[in-house]
Amino acid sequence: MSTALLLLALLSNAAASCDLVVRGVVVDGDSNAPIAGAQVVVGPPGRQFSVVSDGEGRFEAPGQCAGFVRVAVSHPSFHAGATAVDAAEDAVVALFTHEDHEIVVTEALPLGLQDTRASVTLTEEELDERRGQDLAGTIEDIPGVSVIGGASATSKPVIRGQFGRRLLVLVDGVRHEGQKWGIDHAPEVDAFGADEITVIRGAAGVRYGADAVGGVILVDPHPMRETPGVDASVHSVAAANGLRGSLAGRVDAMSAKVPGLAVRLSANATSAGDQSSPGRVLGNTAARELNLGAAIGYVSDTVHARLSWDRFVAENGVFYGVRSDSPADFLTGLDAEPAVTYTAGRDIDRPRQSVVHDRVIARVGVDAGQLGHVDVTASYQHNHRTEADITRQAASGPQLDFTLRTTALDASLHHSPVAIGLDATLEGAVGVTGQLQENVYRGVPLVPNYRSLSGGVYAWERLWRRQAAVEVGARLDRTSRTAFLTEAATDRLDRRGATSTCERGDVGARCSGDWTAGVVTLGGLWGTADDVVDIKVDLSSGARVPSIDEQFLDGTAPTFPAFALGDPSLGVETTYTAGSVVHLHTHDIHGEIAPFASYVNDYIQFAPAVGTNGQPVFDVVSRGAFPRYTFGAVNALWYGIDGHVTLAPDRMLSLDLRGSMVRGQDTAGQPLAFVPADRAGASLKVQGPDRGAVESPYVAFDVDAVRRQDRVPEGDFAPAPDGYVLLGFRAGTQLRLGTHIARIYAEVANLSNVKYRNYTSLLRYYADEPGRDALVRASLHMHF
Amino acid sequence: MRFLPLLLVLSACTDVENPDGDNVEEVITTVTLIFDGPDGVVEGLFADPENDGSPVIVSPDLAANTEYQLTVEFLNELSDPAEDITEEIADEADEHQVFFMTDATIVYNDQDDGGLPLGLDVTLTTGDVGSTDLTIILRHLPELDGVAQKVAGLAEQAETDGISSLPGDSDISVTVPLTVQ
Repeated sequence: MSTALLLLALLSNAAASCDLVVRGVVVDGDSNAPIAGAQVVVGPPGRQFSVVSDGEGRFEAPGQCAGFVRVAVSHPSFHAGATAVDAAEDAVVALFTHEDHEIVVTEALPLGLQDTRASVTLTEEELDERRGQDLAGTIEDIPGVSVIGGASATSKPVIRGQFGRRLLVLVDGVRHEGQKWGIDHAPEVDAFGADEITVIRGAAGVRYGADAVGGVILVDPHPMRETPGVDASVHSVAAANGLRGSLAGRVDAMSAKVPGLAVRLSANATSAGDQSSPGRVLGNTAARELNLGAAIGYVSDTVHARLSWDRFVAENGVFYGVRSDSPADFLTGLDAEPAVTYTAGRDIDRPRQSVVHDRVIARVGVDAGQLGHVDVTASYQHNHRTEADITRQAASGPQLDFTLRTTALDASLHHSPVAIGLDATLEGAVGVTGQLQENVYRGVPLVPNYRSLSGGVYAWERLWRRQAAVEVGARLDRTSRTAFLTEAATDRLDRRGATSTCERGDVGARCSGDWTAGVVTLGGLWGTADDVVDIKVDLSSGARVPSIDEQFLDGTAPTFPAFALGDPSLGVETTYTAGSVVHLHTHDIHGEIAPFASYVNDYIQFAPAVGTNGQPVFDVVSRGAFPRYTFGAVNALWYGIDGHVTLAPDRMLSLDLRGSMVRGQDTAGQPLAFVPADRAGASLKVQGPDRGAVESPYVAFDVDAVRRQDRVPEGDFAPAPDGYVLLGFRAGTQLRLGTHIARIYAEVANLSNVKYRNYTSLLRYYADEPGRDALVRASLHMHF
Repeated sequence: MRFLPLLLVLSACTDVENPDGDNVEEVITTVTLIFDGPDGVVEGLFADPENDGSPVIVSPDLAANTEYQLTVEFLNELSDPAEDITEEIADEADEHQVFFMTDATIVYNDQDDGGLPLGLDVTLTTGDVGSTDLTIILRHLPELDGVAQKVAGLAEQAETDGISSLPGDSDISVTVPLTVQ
């Protein structure tokens, strides 16, 4: 409890410095005209200062403590809103009613509070331009992000070469838990439900969990209403390739009779037919997705509480051309002309994947006055995945069937900012996390049943002063996991001599492991006083516990013609990362370049097994001889650079250039598998003037080039595909319709219908990626 | 960490601790070959009952230049009791065919309803003295996208272009050495 005592000591210091003045101007977002007579409430509950803006829209709120201060603004003619501003330096802040009638600070988050890693946030408007894609597709054009895909219409996000087990997705602040091991298992996340998506590139283990090695994707829903009223949104997307259609709706309401009580309902559905690559229908790549959500929230001056539920249901056909029943079939399928010409349809046939993911979140946030803010989140996720192969008709069920249940409880205290000396501020948080996870399989015993119990404690503190900040953080996790094996599975392990951690019972065995993993980070940032240049540096070391599949995977992989074997003796994987971001911001140039490097001790990789004679090992089963792939630890090095630069961002004609490069190899110089190829892109955008209701119309031309991946490990079944160049066209505008906003976009992707294959897609073994696609998107945001 | 016991109470279920068993209905672990010839019955076997890549293979001794009636049986020994899959294959004859890759001569004796060969019952005629391999492939040829994959001439195609030139997927592919004396 020494941490708590330390906090109390610091807080008494803070009380002495609550003499700052927050000054601001309230302006109309449309005209920039000052708004007189707006009610402005500044400060935390209990210490609120209420003031009305003067004839020039100005207000002053004295008596504020250092750090982030809440500012709420309301006016009879505008929608009310609130934001937080930095009070450390008596800063003048301009507030205005944003296009969504939410109040935002005109300047970005103060530098001193920004993430010390490379971070990109897609706002609601940017998401509207990308609606109708899955999570990975939505963020794919962010530098450093790519996708890895199977032979269906879904994909997984990759950040700096890391995906699945080494990438965290947080939905509404809760770690998303699904069967991460499958290369064709997309995260079960409703992309329509996102109001904001933030992608953090680089290890972010302290705040989010030790497995955030590659980065974190934060998917945040629309905030619940805090004031009486109704707002709603509707999205529709139509796409030509596969004749996809999506319809999404959300309603949020708070009654004036029961102020503080907010409700939400949301639903969306997507139906897609078979996609086509140039000149060929990708038979059985049809897909369907349904999302439902409901939430109820309560807000008062000191308490935020919310209970939400959402359900993700998806069914994806797997391309008929996938032939992995035997290695011989697989090898013949490479580049072979298809035996059957498929006709496009909407039926989902075997082989297919189905997932139902339910998520229930209960969260309470309490303003604990001088102490700070306490958040407690309890969550339950139920992930049921089935995968059905083409089988004899007598076998009616799926071959793979997994139920993953995850219960988690997180609590954190974000302490009130503490003034240090004259103008420095200390802020930070401490937290505890606990998780219970259980997996139950039926059918093919690929990944065993297990129960995993883990708990962690973390703390981070940030000291910032004007344009500089230093952050330190640490986290300690303890994981205890028991796998429950059948008799047959135990026998198989026995024959490999791998049951040392197992305890045999009457039937089968229990194999237990306990791991302790720590994370430490040290980050810093510094910016010039004129905000033109800032530099961020982040150093971290983190340990990741081996996942269940890395330990116990056993059998032929459903999408890959290999006999896959886990290694129960694997230990923690320790990553040492250094990353930096250099950011340039002038009137004519916005740019960011982010180099990074990691050394990974005992990096767990999935690679072909080599026998003592130096030859690949084959396992003979009744379906043929399969090359054996095993999980093993090597020491690995990852490095690369990603970034973008936008020229003349505010002019009629602007140019955006972006690129990503990542290298992954073991210390002997052998490249690692599935490292995304180098890529570069450019977008030329022509922005039109606002005219009446029409705002920010634009047309844009995109060029994206991907180089051939020539750094590939030995033992791949096919050479890496050639590089390619894709062209695209986009156009869009926003329409202001009274208090409502509509956005309309049109897009043509792969304009020249180029045939290409992607190194990080399983489809590359069988067929070209889908070809040209034309999309129309419309979003309507209504405020009543 | 004091929350953990609470979590455990909330959601621990016993189905985790009692795995369902490796009860996989469509797997074929075992192929039995019954050679009926002038000197009586000889058996060959490929059995991988644990489905773990450590098969038991029994190589039959056959006489040179001799005609055998070869009956093929498929079992799933992961089921308890072992499940005979042969009948299922016969029932779904229109989307299955057994192929034989060997130096010996094969003549199909059985057909599906459409008159196309099935291959659970064939006549195998051995060649001269020596050792050779018999590879048995059960090919699953379901209708895809409304188009039949099982068509005439597949056995000939397999012989000239290799088994994986065929449509469909191999449900099993096992090799049993033959000793011809």
